Amino acid sequence: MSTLPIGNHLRRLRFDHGEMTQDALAKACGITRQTIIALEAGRYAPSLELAFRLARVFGRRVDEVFFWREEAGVGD
Amino acid sequence: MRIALVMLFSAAVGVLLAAPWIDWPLHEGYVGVILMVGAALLLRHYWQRRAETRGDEPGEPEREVWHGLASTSLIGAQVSTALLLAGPGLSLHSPAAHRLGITAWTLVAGAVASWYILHRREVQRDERDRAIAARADRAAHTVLAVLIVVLAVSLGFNPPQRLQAMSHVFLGHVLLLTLIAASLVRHVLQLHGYRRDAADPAE
Repeated sequence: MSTLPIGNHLRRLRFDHGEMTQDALAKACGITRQTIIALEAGRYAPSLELAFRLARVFGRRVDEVFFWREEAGVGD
Repeated sequence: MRIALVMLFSAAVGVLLAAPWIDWPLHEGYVGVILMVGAALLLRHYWQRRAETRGDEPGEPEREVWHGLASTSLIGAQVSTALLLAGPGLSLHSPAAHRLGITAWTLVAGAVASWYILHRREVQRDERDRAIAARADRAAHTVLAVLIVVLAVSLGFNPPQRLQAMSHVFLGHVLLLTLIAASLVRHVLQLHGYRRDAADPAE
């Protein structure tokens, strides 16, 4: 369903971090829970700043949280 | 679909409030306030239940837009209908103009009251809300510019006798209606943006 070229592992990372709720992640990043829902569904691509904030919550690098979908058909 | 339904239903209520053939038990402005406050209480309860059961309730910025769409549609339809019925010669110091003004401002008070009911204290707006709003703002600005140009051209090319028949009050309200139309476009596009991002929640 998603058409955005940027995917993420947010849902898996949340569960790996003690089943962190969407609300807790949203609060940790200063965004709304609805934005976490949109991100996990692959319907919203975050700004670079938000991508760094999300990665920091999980203690990961940005490229460990977000990835480029080759099948999206968008040139690198 | 839901966006169109809310807009059409609110506009229908606005038309009925301005309809002279309906004898409301109260002043139509008060009827509108009661309807808006009642709808806000029901909606708050519904969203609260959605938050508890499905976790897909709209966030604060989206709630504001739903409220804006419904109240703007209602007030816009009420003013348009009243203006249409009063005709282009509407005089400032006439019973029709006084009624129009009192009703419209009472409805604005109702819109503010219903906003307070729906409003949650923890207002939070993030980059996604701002991006959705920015896209809608650009479109609404274009619509407003087009409407103003169309209005200016139509006024410029109207025969003088027809222009003389239009009162300042009438033309002022027509200008206000262009603002309302642009505002409706903004609300519709914002809600469309939220709808596009919506997905099944998975906690």
